[in-house]
Amino acid sequence: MENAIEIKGLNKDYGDFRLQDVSFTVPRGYIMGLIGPNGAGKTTVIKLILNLLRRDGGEVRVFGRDILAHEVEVKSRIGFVHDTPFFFEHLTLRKLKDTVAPFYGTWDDRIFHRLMEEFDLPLRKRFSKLSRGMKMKFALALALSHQAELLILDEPTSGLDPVFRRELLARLSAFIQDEGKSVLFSTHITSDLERIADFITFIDQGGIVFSAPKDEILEKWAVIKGGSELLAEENRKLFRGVRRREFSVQGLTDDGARARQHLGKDVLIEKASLEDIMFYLTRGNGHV
Amino acid sequence: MRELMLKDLRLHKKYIIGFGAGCILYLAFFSSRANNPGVISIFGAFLYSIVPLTIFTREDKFKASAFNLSLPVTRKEFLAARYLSGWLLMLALYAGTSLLTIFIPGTKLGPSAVFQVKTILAVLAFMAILFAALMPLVVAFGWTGLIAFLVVFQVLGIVFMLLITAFRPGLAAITGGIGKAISAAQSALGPAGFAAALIVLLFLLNLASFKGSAFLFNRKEF
Repeated sequence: MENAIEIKGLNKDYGDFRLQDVSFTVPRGYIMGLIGPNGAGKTTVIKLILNLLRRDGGEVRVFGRDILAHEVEVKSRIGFVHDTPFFFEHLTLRKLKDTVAPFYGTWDDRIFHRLMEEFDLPLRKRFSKLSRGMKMKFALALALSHQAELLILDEPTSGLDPVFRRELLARLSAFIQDEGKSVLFSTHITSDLERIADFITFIDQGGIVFSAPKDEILEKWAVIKGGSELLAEENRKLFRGVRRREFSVQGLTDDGARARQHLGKDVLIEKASLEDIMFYLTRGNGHV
Repeated sequence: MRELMLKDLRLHKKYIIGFGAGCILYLAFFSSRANNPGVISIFGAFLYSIVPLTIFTREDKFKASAFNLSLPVTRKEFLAARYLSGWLLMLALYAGTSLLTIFIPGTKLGPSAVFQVKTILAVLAFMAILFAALMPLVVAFGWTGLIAFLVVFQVLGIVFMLLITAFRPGLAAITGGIGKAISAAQSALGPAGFAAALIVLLFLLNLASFKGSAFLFNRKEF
């Protein structure tokens, strides 16, 4: 089966920031989490997928088709939620829906009204009067009502309360139950992805650090805690990032099994969370 | 295309009705009080071309461009809808003003004065030139582009007045030359041929403007 998204060698140069040779694939039927610190290039990747930015090189294929050559067909199969959902603020939700719906041949008013009820969104309310959480819910309702095959969400959970975050994650999990539907979800709140993502792509300073199945990442990567002997020359190559404390050293390895074999029982080896990985890879590298 | 035009109509309905009605009432009233429909018509053409542009720049205000361009449309379609909507709005404003001028109580102008072919062609030409010149500016710079144009236009107006005072004979020769060229073209082509040629020329001008705007719009990032 074709992939939902295939990105190969994507480049974008802003002068002071460069997205370099970004390549990853979102298989159909799965949730891909795009993680990275603020300013890593997550939003740039998403905007390039939606053709909101001009790419300087590389290829973006959605459902096997080049986004530039088949823009209308591809976009009609995508539901999107931008990090800041800007709409025409003075309009009511009903009018906004009436504006967006005609663009999609697959728009289903029943789904839209059901979602509005479930999200507790009043159709007569002006968009400007909604809280950030409600704005996000509305953007999601629009994205889901045209039966998109691919959802692209840019930081949808940042600034939202845990209740709505969980609700959103549950909805995304339900969304991909229908085989063939996929999600690309960018966030720096990694705990959200640990709950639902099937694959993780980690981006930092405009480059891909890794892109792999989440379970494989969480299985392989580990945090090692021990004394300063951990930094002995023969151990150093085990670490991808290290954090020194007054009497101890903590490090991140991408091969927990090898570290266990090499360091034995003298150290504490724990599974790494996505947050650990992000922290050590972005803040711990210089200390190895 | 239809969806895009309806979208603009739906999003800016109140603004179009409010601003458009004000514009029609204002121009119709002053036209009805003037003996010469030409001057007000030309001033009207300026306003007719500004109205759609102010609507398009409202997208800057709401920062809605990223959302609009995430919908299943190409940038070319998006822009083509803008040109078409702009022209429909300008023509509607002109038609509305002209009709109201005839029927407004105490009007000095009858249908024969308001609907002179010469006046209609002059209004169309001014609208087409202004719209064609301003659209690429608005596409590239949004609201700032429009404001910059209006400021430059004011300054150019003052410079033009000063030039008239200082070089009256020279300018009279230039305007006279243009008038003679138009008269020569009219007699060579005949009234109908001249009107057709002018409309084709204005269409080509707007087509060139569209191509230029599309070039700029494709390079824009949101």
